Amino acid sequence: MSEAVPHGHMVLTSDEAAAYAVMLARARAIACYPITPQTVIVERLADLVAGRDDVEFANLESEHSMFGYVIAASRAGVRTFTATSSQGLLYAHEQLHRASRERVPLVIVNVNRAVFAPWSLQSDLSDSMSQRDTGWIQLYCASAQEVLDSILCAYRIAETAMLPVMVCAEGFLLSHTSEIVDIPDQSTVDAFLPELHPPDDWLLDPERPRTFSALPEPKDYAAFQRHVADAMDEARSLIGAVASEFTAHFGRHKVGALEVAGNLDADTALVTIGTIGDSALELLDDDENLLLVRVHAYRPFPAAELSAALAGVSYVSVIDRAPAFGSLGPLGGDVRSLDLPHVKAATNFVGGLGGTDVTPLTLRWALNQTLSSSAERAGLAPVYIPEGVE
Amino acid sequence: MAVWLEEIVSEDKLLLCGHAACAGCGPAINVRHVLGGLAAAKPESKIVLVIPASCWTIIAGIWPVNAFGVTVHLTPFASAAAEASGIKAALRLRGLGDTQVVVWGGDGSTCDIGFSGVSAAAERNEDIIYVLNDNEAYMNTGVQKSGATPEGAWTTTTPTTSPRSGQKKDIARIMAAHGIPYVATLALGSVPMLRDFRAKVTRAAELRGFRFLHILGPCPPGWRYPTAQSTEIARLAVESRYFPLFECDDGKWRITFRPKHPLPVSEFLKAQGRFSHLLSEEMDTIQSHVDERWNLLAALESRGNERGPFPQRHPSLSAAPANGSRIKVWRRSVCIANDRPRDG
Repeated sequence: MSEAVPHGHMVLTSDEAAAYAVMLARARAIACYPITPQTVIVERLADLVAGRDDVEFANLESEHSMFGYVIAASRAGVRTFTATSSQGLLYAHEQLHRASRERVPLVIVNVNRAVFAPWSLQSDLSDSMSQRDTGWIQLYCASAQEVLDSILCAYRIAETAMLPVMVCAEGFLLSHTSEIVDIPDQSTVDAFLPELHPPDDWLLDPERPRTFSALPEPKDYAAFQRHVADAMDEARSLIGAVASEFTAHFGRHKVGALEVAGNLDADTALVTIGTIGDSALELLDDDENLLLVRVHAYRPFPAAELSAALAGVSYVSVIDRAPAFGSLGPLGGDVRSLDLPHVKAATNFVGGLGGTDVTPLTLRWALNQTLSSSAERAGLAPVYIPEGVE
Repeated sequence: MAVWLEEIVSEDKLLLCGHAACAGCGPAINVRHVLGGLAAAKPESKIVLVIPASCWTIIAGIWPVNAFGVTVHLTPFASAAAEASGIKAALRLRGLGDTQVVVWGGDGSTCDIGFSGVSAAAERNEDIIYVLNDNEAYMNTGVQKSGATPEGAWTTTTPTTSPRSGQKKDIARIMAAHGIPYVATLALGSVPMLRDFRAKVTRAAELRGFRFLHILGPCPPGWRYPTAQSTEIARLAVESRYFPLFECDDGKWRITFRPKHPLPVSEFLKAQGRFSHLLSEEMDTIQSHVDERWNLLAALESRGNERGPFPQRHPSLSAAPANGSRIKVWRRSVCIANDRPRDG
């Protein structure tokens, strides 16, 4: 028989928290293919749905098929879930582009893991950051609680915007470490997350024969791409609105596009993403002139929110946990694209690759580099954080 | 007989005139008889056609024009079988499980890039009909060699100075090795072949689980023959035993069409420009391979009611409850296993 989903406070990894969130969201078609460190999510889900006739749990033979399965099931009208990591996400790359362009409201969890070659099981953000232009909303988490909460929000966002959402959690740092997580009860979630009701014109309905994604004229193809861009732009405000509603409904704060902490009038800012943002909070213990910004919604990029948050600073350090070979890091490049005339130095650092540590000491080193002349302030290459500063 | 013929060539409006196929397209005739046969066999069931990247991406019509009278879900090259599985699962959850979900995939998609997905869907015994529309090369991109391109054939990537070596992938026997409920080969070359064709489509519609129909799809521009001869080419393929018509129904093999006077395979080969470079001794080699395969099929058939050479892992599903109830009976045993206390 299927297991019940617990509620209340439990000690969970983010993989376990994700599985419970998916159950609470009443996903009905779940596809899986194993890859470390995501696998625990689908293992837990397999136990949780075993024997249930109202849920289809499918073991596919590849991530490409797995994404195809959930895309097709979603088009045919049911809420879906799948999860992957690293090579799996890359193997499905073609389907990622297609899911957003077909406006499929998928929710997936990507448990971030470094990318081959050479092999690494450890975490960095290269896998999902390299998918930033596929038209997916990307939410990067810093705790198991945030993973659970973000999945519930993700279904609301995806099914309102009709865009796929990727909830990202760093492997092992979140997926295999445990923390106290507050699991809401089913009725509270049901009141927040209504059943899936996609638009009739979008839904695959055997009673209403149509051909989906047929070849259009170039001008129509271009118009469809523009629709995706418009939907992504509209999702910016939606992410904040859903987070506010979540906060009010569940009585627990939910970060919208950004988490801002520290001294709002500080001269120095540190911009991070993922768990590095959590480590950065320790810097506030002995630094009163520091503003911390953790980017939660990386796509659509929260340019207005970030510009507002950085409006008063002179020195910005941006920490990427992924390289962008031949250019700035993904987050660093985006921050540098903002119009921030008052900023004297905005330095992009790349660190934490393949599971290397980024500690408060690392971050302090980076802040000092930005303040000193040794940092490369205007160049088109990021500063790779050297060994030994953690 | 006349009444029967009239029934099967009647206008069913499932593939509409004005579609974008080439003149003389063999598969355009085939798809009409697949859809017409499925609709006739289960008139109460709607059809969802799942089509991976292929000529049919274009034949289906330039948006918003639509050449099909059934729902068409277009997919990337490699994921049609998985997506048909996903659609079937979702429709079952929505109480629409009697919908016939049908893949119409080419030989590149089925035998090459999407093969792992086809094999896996068969291994899961998904309740779908998978139709291989085999025109024996990548025709949509302009005739490049696929795993289904026959021995000796010219394609743009196997030029006449270095034609296809090795034999066409025996996809029907490979699929039968999965122990699925039904595998059949089909071709439209004559009225008796049409009867065989429609009987197999009807049989596929009656069964449940993974059903695989391998249809020969003569292609005038790719095979290099005049557009009026697609049916004649199919007839030569079957009567020369180049493309034997057989089935494996619940493990029982049967050759369903025996040419009374088998033609030499050279008659089939000489009718097409793609084989025009072949020397007579090369045709003899192809003939020997054709004979070997026919003898193998005859040996499989001679097993009679015995099971085929591969154990049937899946029970016959023809008696399964109708209207979309779950067919994955083995899932119950998984559930029982989960009732045991978990370690740790």
